[in-house]
Amino acid sequence: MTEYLSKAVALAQDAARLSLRFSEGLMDNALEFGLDTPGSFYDNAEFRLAQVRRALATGTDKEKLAAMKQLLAVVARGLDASEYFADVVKNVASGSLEVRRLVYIYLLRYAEQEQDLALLSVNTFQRDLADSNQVIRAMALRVMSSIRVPAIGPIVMLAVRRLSADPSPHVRRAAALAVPKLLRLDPELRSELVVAVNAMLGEASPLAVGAVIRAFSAVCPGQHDQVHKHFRRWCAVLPDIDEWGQIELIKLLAAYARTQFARPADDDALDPDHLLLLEAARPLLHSRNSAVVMAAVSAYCHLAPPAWLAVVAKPLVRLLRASRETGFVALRSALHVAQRQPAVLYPHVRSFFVAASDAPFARRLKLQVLAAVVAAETAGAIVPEVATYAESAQADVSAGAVAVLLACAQRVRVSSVDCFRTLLLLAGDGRAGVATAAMGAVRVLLLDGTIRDLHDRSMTLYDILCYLARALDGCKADGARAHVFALVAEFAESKFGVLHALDVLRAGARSFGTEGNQAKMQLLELGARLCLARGRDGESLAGEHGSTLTALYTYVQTLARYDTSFEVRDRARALRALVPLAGDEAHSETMTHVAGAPLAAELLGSAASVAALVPAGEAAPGYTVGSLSLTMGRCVDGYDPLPDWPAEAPKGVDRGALPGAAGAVGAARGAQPVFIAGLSGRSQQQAATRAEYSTPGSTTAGGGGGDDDLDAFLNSEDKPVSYQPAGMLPAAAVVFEQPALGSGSEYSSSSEYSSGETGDSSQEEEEDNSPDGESSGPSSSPASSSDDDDEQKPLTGISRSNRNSSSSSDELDTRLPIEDTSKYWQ
Amino acid sequence: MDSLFILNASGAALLEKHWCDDRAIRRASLVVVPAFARYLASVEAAADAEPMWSGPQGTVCIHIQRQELIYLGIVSREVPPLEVLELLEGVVQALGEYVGRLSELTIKENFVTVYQLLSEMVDSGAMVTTDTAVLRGLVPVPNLVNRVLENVSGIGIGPERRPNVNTSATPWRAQGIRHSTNEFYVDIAERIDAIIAASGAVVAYDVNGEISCKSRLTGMPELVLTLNRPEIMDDVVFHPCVRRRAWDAERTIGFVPPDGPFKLASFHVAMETSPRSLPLHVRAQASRSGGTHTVEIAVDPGQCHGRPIEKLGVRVPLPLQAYNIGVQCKTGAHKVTNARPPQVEWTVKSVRPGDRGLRLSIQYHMHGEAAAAGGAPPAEQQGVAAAFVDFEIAGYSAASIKVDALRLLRESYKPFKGVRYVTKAGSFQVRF
Repeated sequence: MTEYLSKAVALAQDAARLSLRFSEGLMDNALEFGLDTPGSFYDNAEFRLAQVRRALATGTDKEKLAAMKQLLAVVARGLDASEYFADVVKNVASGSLEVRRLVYIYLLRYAEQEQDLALLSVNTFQRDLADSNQVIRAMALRVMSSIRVPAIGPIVMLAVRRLSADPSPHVRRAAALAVPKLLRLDPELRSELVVAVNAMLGEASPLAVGAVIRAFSAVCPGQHDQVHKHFRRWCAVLPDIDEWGQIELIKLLAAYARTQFARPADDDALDPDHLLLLEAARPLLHSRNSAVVMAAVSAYCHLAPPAWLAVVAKPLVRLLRASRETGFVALRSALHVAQRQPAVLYPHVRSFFVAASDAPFARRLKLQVLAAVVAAETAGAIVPEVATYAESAQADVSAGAVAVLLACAQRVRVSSVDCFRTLLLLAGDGRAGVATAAMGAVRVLLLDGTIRDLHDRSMTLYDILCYLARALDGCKADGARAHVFALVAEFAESKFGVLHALDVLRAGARSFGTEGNQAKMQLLELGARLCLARGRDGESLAGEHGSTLTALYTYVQTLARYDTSFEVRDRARALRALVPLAGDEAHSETMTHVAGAPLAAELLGSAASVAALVPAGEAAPGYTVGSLSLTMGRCVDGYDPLPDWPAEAPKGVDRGALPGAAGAVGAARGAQPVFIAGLSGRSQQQAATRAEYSTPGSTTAGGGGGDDDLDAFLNSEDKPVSYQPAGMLPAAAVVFEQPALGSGSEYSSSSEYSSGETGDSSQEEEEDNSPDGESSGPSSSPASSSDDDDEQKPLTGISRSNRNSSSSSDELDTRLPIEDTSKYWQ
Repeated sequence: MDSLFILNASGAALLEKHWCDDRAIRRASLVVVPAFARYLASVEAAADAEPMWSGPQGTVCIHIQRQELIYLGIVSREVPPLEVLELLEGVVQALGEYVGRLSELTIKENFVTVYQLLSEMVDSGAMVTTDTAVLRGLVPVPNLVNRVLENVSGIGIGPERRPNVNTSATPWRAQGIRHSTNEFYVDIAERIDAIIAASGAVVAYDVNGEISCKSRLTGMPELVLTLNRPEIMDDVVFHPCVRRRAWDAERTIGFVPPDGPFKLASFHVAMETSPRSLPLHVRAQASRSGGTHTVEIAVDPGQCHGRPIEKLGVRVPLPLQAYNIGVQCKTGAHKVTNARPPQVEWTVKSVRPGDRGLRLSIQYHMHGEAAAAGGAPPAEQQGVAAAFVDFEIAGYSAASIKVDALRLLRESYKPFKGVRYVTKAGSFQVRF
């Protein structure tokens, strides 16, 4: 029996061992044959680190690559992999570029912790700095300058100085980008860096200008003397350099302009250089990069005369539509503009209407913008829209709408009553925030005289107060009730009458226990003020109801005295000192009640000043438009405000030469092909003709290899997603065999060409003229022919195709019968 | 920017990259990211989170959400926020082109490529380039074979290419591009953003269009694209390759195209706000009798040149307290999602121009209302009281923009040229 048992156990152990081996083998095989689950390499990286050290020391490139990837997976997950630094740094000179790239990523992550070991890598970088490949040179400098080891500062400094004269703009850019990093690493290098950067300022390549500007801004902040002689050239290249460079450059030029030019005013002529900058920034408003657009908007907001600001509205609205995140920044900036120059946004108010899908922050900001831009011109669009927000299901929208309505009522006389009515109707709103905001707005409008002074007698103060008093029954919100009690107290002596007020007090006293703190305090005040209310003859206005009033006031005071809230008790005590109860006189000789009554009345009356009710507008200081500080509403570390305009603009500054417009473009875009001006006259005619033939079946498409596709398409024209032929000229319309490099002179030739043609309205004439136009240009193709024109007049586009490709155009003729296409040109 | 994190939807970090000193690295990963994750969890919907959030210790967390991932940039010093957003957006786009659809899994699979791209795109926290044409020269695109093998063994195969960079004046297009077939496709996609009031009035109606192109052309071609009504575009943004001067002077789009797909231009057209101009008329009405709330939605095709409206979808989020939801519709399919808040989705595959009588009717009751029937609505009634409409119309341009001509200059071959139009609903909302 025991034998059997032990045998069974042995068998089981064998089986277990076998299955273990099998599964191990399977694991290995899985690794080799790809049966691993996706992402498991990343997930399990830290369990496979055992092999890393060996692989990095003696493995092949393949193994090293695998090891580095494992290490990076560990880095990516935020785990510490610094213990392998020594092994990794040995591979910094690896022959495989791919391994090296990964080594660099690792190196930059941990170099600061392992400074001594990191120094070992410097030699390799220095060798790479002399590599024949520009990418390698740039990469070596980039990585070397990113290593946060102060000891290598002087070496990097040398490299920067040497590579800043490199023939490749890509490398020069890397050299310029290294400057700010170097400065951060070792501030003592500043003086050397200043020299190096000043030598770079003449940079002409659009690729590297941006980086140079960034280096300059980092090393010499506020040194505008250096900018003078480059100013005009930089303005000229601004539209042509890369997007990230544009942001840096426009920031620099804006700060420069704020110190060098006089504050712009609408009626004064601008300094020509100031004008030059604004004109150069204008195309940037149409950049596809939202950061560039915002930089240009910011430049306009802070540099342009107020009357010019209208150009920023469209870009701002475009950014607002772009995405949730961009919209947030755009809204903050739009709010800034709206509060200073509301007229700029008048044509775009609809863009600020709240959509149901807007996030809470977008709704809030949109409503703030609407409140800022509401005016006589926009009230017609805004008021009906905002009135619907008042009933919106979203409480924050309704509360924001109240602020807009308040602003509208105050600013636009004609719509005051409408807005006021809408606000009154919100008294019974179930949402506390909305009702409170609405009643607050009503109170402001009644106190600041907007509504009281209306000539329109359709709604008297008496009606309003009666309505509000009645609305108290349905109004549950503490703040809203408090506002109504305050209003009743304020106008108790008017036509509304003490007796009505007394009734409000009575109702309030009855529900005192369930009121909120705000309402309790206002009720106390109401009672106190009613007690103080005196007619002209000094008699109490309460008249024969004086005893009722005293009883109510005493009742309220008594309840308040034992209230749970400290604030209410405190207020009750204060009021009791001013307006004592019946029994108080006996033991408070120090209080000069009778003499103090007018004083008390004054004190209480002034408590409800309008200023205290209106939220303090935009108290935020004016940060630069588009800055993080403006977006966050607080001064973020490192915020550098734009300098204020100088009292007196410096005169006689030499701002360098402005390259001629064509020359500038030619220089900046040296190798660009020429632009052949559009055939404006003809294209309009085409537009008219083709409007009738917009369906795919009736259009024709280009020849060559495209015809088969076209046929296939025409056969399946009901397929909605297939490509439609363009409905355009069939083939290359005009072929220019251009010398490889363009320059300014070609622009002139192309413009000659266009002027030769734009005057022609008829197609026949154009056909006749165009060969002349082509031959008149120095760069025209010798192959352009007039024979083609004679033979194939109806086929305008084809006829003008190049002779060199005559075989394909013949083929085209056979495939596209003339009668088919000719109808487009009739 | 100090650090960049890629987080999954629940706020856990998948990948981190730092450009700051050790102290800031620790602060970012130990303090700021957990705090940000808590903030994300505290807002009702992920989309409600402020894109710029004041983090602990003076940091600012700037994030974007794309698909299921969150890209978080941590900033501790003043920097234009849009620069950070563009950087994040650029990273997302470049990653998308390299690894396809971005998800937690694809990031895990391609983290090495992500690192390589980041180290080329961003230098010490500032953007160097987002141009994918430039990037492709620096970081090899992982192809399918590579990707499978790398994923398994962590080893890339294939000959190592010498990286290079195009420093010519047309950085978007390298010299010597060759294609066996020359093709150029233009896609004009328009997005309708509209708000329709309960009365049927059109509160806002905008068309945002995008001209995207796919270029497979040999050599250095110059293209001139002419549109039929360029004057109605009131705000146009171009790819840097487009000559702005030509547009300003003659309203033609002249450019040397980058190779491959790219976005040539985007434009905005302000439409007149008359109900007749919309391609689709949608009315929504809410009513209430007793405890039963009813939302009626009526859809009628409008002016769209006889094109069918496809993939019509109407989404109606209901208040949080809604229950006992009943839906009636004769056409299409509907679905009730009992999430928080519950919502009704109605889909119709295709609406022909003549179709009439597409109606959806939703009935529901509200919790907490039964007791006070006929009384005021509950104090904190949640819900947006709007229906969101989605549709697609192929071959139709809402702003009536058409390509008139596309001419190829400077090259002698004849490319195949194709144009396609599509109009989609962007944010199309009907209030009730």
